[in-house]
Amino acid sequence: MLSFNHGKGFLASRLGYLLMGLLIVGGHLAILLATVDDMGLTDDDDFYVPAGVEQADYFAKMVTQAFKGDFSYIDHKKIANSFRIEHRHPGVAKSMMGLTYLIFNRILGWYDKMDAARIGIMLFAVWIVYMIFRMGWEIFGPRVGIFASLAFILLPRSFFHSHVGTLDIAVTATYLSIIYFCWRSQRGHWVYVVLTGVMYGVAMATKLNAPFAILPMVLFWAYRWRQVSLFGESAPMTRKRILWLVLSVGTLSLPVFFILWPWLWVDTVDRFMEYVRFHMHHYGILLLYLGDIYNDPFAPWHAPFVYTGVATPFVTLLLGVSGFIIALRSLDPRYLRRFPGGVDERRDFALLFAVNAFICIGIVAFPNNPKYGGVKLWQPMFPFLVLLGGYAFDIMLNHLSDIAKFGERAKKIAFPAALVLCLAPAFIGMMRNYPDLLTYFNELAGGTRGATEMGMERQYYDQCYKSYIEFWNRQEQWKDIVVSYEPNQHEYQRTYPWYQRMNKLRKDVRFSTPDRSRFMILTHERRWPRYPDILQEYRNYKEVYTHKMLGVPLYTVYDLKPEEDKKRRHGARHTEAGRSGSVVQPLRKQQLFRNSIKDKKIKPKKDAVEGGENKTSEPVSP
Amino acid sequence: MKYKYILPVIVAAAVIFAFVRVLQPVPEPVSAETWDAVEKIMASEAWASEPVIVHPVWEHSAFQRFKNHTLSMGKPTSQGVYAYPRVWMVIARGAGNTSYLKKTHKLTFDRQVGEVRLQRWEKPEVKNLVYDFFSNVRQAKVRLFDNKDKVRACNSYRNLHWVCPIRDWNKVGQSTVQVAGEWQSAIWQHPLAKWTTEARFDDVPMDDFIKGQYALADAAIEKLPKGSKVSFRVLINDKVVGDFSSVNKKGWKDFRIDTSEYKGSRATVLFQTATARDAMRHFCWRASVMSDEKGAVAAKPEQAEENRDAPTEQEAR
Repeated sequence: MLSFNHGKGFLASRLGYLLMGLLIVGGHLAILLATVDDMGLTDDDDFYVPAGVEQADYFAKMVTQAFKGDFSYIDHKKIANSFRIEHRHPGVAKSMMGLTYLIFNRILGWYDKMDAARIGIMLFAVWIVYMIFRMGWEIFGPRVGIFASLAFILLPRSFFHSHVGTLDIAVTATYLSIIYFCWRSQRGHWVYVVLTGVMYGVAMATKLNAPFAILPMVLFWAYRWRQVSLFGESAPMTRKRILWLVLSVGTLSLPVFFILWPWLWVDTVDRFMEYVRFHMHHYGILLLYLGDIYNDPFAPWHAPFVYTGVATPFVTLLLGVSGFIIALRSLDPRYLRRFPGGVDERRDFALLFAVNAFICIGIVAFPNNPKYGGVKLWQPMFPFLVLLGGYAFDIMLNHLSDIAKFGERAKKIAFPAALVLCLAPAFIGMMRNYPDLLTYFNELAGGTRGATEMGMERQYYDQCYKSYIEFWNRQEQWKDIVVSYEPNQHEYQRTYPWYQRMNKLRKDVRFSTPDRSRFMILTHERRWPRYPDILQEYRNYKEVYTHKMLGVPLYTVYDLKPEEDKKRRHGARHTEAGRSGSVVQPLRKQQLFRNSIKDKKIKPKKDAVEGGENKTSEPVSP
Repeated sequence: MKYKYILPVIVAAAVIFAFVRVLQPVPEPVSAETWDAVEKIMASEAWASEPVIVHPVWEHSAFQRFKNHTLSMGKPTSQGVYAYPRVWMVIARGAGNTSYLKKTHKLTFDRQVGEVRLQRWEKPEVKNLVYDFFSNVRQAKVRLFDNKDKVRACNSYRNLHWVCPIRDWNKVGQSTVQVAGEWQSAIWQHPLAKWTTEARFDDVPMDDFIKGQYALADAAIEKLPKGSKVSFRVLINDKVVGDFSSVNKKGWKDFRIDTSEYKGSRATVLFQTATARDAMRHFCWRASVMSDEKGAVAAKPEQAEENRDAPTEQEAR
């Protein structure tokens, strides 16, 4: 039985630890796999998954040939060909997606291309939960391990991002891994010292956020150094170990970074400088924040904090912030000078997590960076937030134990009861917004409705919707459906066809320019400056379907040419009348298309593409 | 001991609050009767094309309403809406922070209609407004002509624009552009090389002067800082009354044209744009016919003409 008493009973046993770990981590993997179909594709999936496949192909060929003594793949041209799609970001996340694609699609054939590649990201997410569980349990105690790992699984936005074929969850995992190995290397086997250095390189080769982990690590080692001065042998780390760690990170990280990103194997300096330059001058991306659109200049420093404040389940957020504040007590100079009461590992790691949480969000908030995409850019902060939440949750239970006069029976049920009460609102909120979890906003914001009214983005990431797929698959009355999208056709015309390749969306839905389309799908994304004009225009057409989340419209399907149904019915009557025993073949679609081109004297393909792009943003003159 | 109460009490309160909020049911949409009543009042009180701001932003039942007006769901993201002399606001369920209008407008009408609150906000200079070209761009006739008198009509009205036949960015209509870093509503009139793009407004009630602004969108200046000048001409009854040129500098340029000689009459007003090289010439403008007289009764834009003599109800709160 789960016990209220910290560290006693079932939870203190090795079996309890293993079973709970297996249940949470295995359950998380099972849930992620089961929900992969429901989490819509995003513009990043369309971009990074093919890049990952390309890179994995390269690695597979290069390694196979290298074993045969042929190193011809380390070649300027071959590298350039294999990194055509994407070489702005390092390769770990993409290679992982490519690897799971090779295993689950090409070798085993269990999943289609997209889902197989997305499994790579899900594995990163599962690794995160494992680390949270283990660090929470072993540093703070079982209650923290269980609370923090469940709280992370129940972060709706992180749950969605755990499926997206992109770098954010991957860098969350590799960033957290640095801290995880840093913790394990304190007194553990020397291999953890090596792994800390290696993992720093792996994290650098995942995304640009990761190298900033060096700041909290250096502070932590300085902190430990000071403890050695005071406590000598009984300090948690020896100075020798600290120096080995510094040496490990200093010597191993860069070679690992270099090895994992073949793009840098040729023209190393130029390409590395190009990488740095690109991120120093990253182009702006639209963000709606408190009713105002930001692009250039970028959103203000407080936007990431406010977005976190409204997009994290309220109780989890409150506990996380409480844990953060409690952890900061350790920064009191009087404490740092003498560490009264001896070494307190809980307190030390709470401070380390708090510093990490602040750095993960701070590197997005404070420099003059583009801020966009809800909370995706500072995903690495959330594991630390839930760990701090677990720390505060544990302290709360201890305080409750001190002040309440519970009987034995009450003590036994207090922990599970508190766990359920604290996490149930997050679970309910997640279920109510499911499967469009990017629309989730917390209770403080008044949910999706309140936050939308507040002027926050109800959707972003050019996300595809499961309801959209289902909607078209149900519409048997229409054939050869031509659709266009506003305000961002440019992205949707690339992502929705993936569903056709996966046989999830009927094949006769195709996109074109608005003037040639029967239907217009308007996503209600107010961050697009033209959205009010577009809504003004298209609301004059017949509304066929509006998909709402908790009463908030996400997209509307407009019928631009309802008269075509009448014509079709009329034509059908004529056809029936004209048949009189003989079969009248309708004009083939291509013939009709050719005729319309002839009438309009336009070039079909090129014009369609250019028109589509022009519709996505401000009109572009030559 | 006392401080030990703090965290459990805060968390317990947060859990109760979270349960209450997360279990809130989805509200019913505003009823059709209420919308009908609001539209009836608007028909007698409002001018066509005047913006209507609806709060809350997600009130889907408003999408099919106010077809003669510019609908803005929630706080307008374009600063251009604040340039309108009169703005209407519908507030359902008590939602909406309307304080943003207080900076530029004054509340002059406030009435509870069914489940919603209907408000009108006016700028102090509204009494001097006679005719707004931006609001009436749908009534414009747009064409291209060259110096050999070859003419091409731009008579396809799509997506709030009159689209010309040669290039799809060569069009005239209501657009949202970034000028001096702010998103603004204005009339987009991108010129086409070798042609003059002309927007013609017939039967415009004239008064003391026309005032307006023109600019190149920020993107045009950033991407092509040495692009060609855009010639912007204003004609009344085919007589040139204003001849301006764009400069490659961000921000609006104001203009004011004395029209006192036409006061009291109705005239044809033409706005023409032309350029030598049309790359990135994202030109836009906005203008109104204004009266000097304070308290002059404004001539309403076209579609509300029949309501011109209707009594104006000023129910200032």
